[in-house]
Amino acid sequence: MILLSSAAVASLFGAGIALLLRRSLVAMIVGASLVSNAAFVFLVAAGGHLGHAPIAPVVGDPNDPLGQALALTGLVINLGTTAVLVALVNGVWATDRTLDLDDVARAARREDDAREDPA
Amino acid sequence: MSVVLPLAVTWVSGAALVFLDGRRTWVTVLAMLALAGNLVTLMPLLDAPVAQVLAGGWPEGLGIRLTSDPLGVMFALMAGLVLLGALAFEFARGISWPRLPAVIVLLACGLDGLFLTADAFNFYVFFEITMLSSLALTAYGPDRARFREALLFAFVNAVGSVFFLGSVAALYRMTGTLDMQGIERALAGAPVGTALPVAALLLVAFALKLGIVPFHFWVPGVYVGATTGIAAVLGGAVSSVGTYGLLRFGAGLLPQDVALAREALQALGGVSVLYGALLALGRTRPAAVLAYTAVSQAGYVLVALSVGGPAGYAAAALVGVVNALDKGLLFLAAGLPGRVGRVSVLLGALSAAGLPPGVGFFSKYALLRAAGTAEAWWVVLLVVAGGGLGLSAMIRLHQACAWDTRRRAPVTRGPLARLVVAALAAATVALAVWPEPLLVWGERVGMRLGAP
Repeated sequence: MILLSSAAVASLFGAGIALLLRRSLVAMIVGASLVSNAAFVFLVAAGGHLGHAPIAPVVGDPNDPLGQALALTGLVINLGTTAVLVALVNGVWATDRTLDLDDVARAARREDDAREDPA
Repeated sequence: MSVVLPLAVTWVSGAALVFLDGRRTWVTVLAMLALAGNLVTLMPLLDAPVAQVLAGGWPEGLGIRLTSDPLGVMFALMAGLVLLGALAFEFARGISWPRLPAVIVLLACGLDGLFLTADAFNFYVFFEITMLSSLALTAYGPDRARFREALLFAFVNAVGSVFFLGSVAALYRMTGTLDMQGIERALAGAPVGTALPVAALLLVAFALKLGIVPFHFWVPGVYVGATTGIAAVLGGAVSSVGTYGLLRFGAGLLPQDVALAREALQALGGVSVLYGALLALGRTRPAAVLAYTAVSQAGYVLVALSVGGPAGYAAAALVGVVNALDKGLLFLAAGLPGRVGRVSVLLGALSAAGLPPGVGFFSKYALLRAAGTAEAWWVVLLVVAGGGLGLSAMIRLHQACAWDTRRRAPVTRGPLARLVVAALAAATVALAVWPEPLLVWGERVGMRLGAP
């Protein structure tokens, strides 16, 4: 069970990082979300693997429900963060008319060069 | 005076302000009153004996603890002061976004909660509140290109937060508790190096926040082009989260791992100090010079942490607090044209370089003395070399401000802006003339953190 949850965390994190390294801004948002979800699975797994769900009436040794409560809080925070990220990407779209990271970087470089004194 | 009061003041007023139009004068005045109230409720907590409140009345060990630890209260005070000054400065400039005062008050709430909590996951929640507010602030300004930098800042912060959450989960798995004191007690008896991966993750998360090499890449882009008040908020208030995190989680919870990684911390900090100061010399825009000196000053915190012991931790706390005040003053003063601005830049620059009559002299001296007592001669050499380079960078900053020929929008309420900057400059000089309270506070913090 520990192996299964570790593999889940690792694959989610890996997929998220792979998406974060891509050119499309939307892919980067999904990647950030996946990376956060990897941390939440880790939180739930931190509650233990004894096997019984922590729902009353308790039978045997239940898992620790605190990890799940923390993951719920984190999910709500993640919702807020994703919303802000989408708003910022919308702002970049409004300014540069592109969702491609390379185009955005090129536009930034062009503006920097056009200034008299680069930063 | 209750620990909950600063949080309650900023929380309630921030929530109410969201519905009001921040471009109106009375709304901004309300927001400034809320921030002033924040400072007023924090000040009694500094000298009073350490109090704690268990949220919801839950028993000890289960409930979320809020505590008026001297380290947290001083950082909250300094951040609150910088926020108040920045809001007043933006008000003097003219606010173009209705939600700006509300977001700044909510940022104050997030910072208060972060500095006053003694629960690891609660720290994460307030860390996220702070991050979301600062993201919204980074995108503020007349320059349309702000969204690019805000996006970079957002992704970098998101990854940093995930690293921090991962380390909190790992600490919970290892110790079975989220309470900071409980974690400290549980890890005290563990064999050396048990929590090393967790310590590494925490270092990455806070180094990203602070802007230490090699996690400094986002700093210049975000600071250059930000409006003056926002740059002061980011440099003065938000970056102090990194310093506080390193002290609270590093020195407080994982001192064995800090001692284990002493050379690595010295190397990272040293590279930051020298790299930041060298690059600052090659810049012409004031904000760019300040951004790189921010990287440089951040390195001193890591170096002080590596010296260790009560003296080293006291020096790290002093360096962090003085740095927050300096950066707040410098960013605001660099954006103010005129004589008051130039003199304030000079005073702030002297403090950042570690020379009298700046309060930075005392923080750098504390670091030198701690390093000398611990016989860490490389650190002494680094601080002296970094001080020399930093002084050159500061002279560069003064030049850049004096020769700044860009046409800037006129400051609508000039006297208010000048008052704010002059007040901050006077605060640094006052602290330099009478450093006793600050030094006593530093010793207190060092004793509490360094006590075995």
